[in-house]
Amino acid sequence: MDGGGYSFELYLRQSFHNTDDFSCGLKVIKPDGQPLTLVRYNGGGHVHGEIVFACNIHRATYQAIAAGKKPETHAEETNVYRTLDGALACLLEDAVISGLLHVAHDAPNLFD
Amino acid sequence: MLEMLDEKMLCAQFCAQIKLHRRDNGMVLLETPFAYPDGDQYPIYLTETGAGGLRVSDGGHTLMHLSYENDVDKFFEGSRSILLNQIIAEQGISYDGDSGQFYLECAPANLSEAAFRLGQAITRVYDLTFLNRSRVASTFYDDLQEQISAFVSVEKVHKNFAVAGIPNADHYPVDFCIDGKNNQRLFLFGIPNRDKARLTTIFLQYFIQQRVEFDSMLVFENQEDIPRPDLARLSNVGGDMISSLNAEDDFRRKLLKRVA
Repeated sequence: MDGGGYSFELYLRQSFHNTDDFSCGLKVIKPDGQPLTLVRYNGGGHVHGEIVFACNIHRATYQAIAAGKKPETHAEETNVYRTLDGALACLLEDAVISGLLHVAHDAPNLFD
Repeated sequence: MLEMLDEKMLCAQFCAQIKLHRRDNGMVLLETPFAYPDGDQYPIYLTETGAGGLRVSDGGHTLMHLSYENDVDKFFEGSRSILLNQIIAEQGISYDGDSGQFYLECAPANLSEAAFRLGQAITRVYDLTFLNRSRVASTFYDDLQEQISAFVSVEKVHKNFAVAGIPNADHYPVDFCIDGKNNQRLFLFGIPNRDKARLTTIFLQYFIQQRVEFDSMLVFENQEDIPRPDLARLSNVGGDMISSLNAEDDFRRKLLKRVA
């Protein structure tokens, strides 16, 4: 996807080692060639601060950029997905990305 | 203050940051304070080896994390590959090319040392991103601007200059427009790589097509790195060339001839 010197990339990652370790993200490649991750929907394969092995969504924030941190440092725990496909469905919906193959949301977990 | 420090208290502080997690899927992970710049902590997996020891591994997550914003194949080519192998050797870890895992094996009694060694290794591997072309290019532009400032007064230099009076001028920014002799503008472009050489060729052709009055100067990070056909096309439309920032005397002479 390209526009005004900015291009956008949507990526998916799934660990072979640990099914809980997955990510899908949306990044913008700026005209200077530097990438900036706008959002990344992670699986629960790791710890992030107070988030302990739970799915979490990273978002680029003004505060992180102003503080000189990695823009997408801010992360929030979520239970709206459990799989890579589910994460992708949420990302496509949240970022209003259309025109890709239909991806279904994860079914609600009856044990939650 | 230093006399009041107590080793037991210090050990307790360190230990508070280390946790063992036994996951529902049977995996055992060690939580440590090691984290990527975005705050995600390194997943450190523990498994038993056949010989009664432990394997301490990143589970391939380091390369996965790097791949979010980098082409990981580049870490196994050229200078990055040399540095990567140096890190592996110095930290005493191993790399499994089939699974993409960094790991080491140890006796249970040496787990803490092994975990710290792997953590330090992952940090060093991740920091290879500082060699990214765009970041190195950024330092090249910083160096270029510094050299220009050493020869020309600041008020004569206009960074990221948009040429007035031509369509879509914002799409064709000049790295540095310098007020030259006899009101002749000098468009100076930094060329850190082949992509920029091609882009600059397009820009210069556009300016010529739009009948813009200008002189141009092209300063390469390393002219020898630019493929010959790209260099030939650029030479046809560009002006004076400086092969690298090391050619400081030539840069000063050519610049002052146009500007002073």
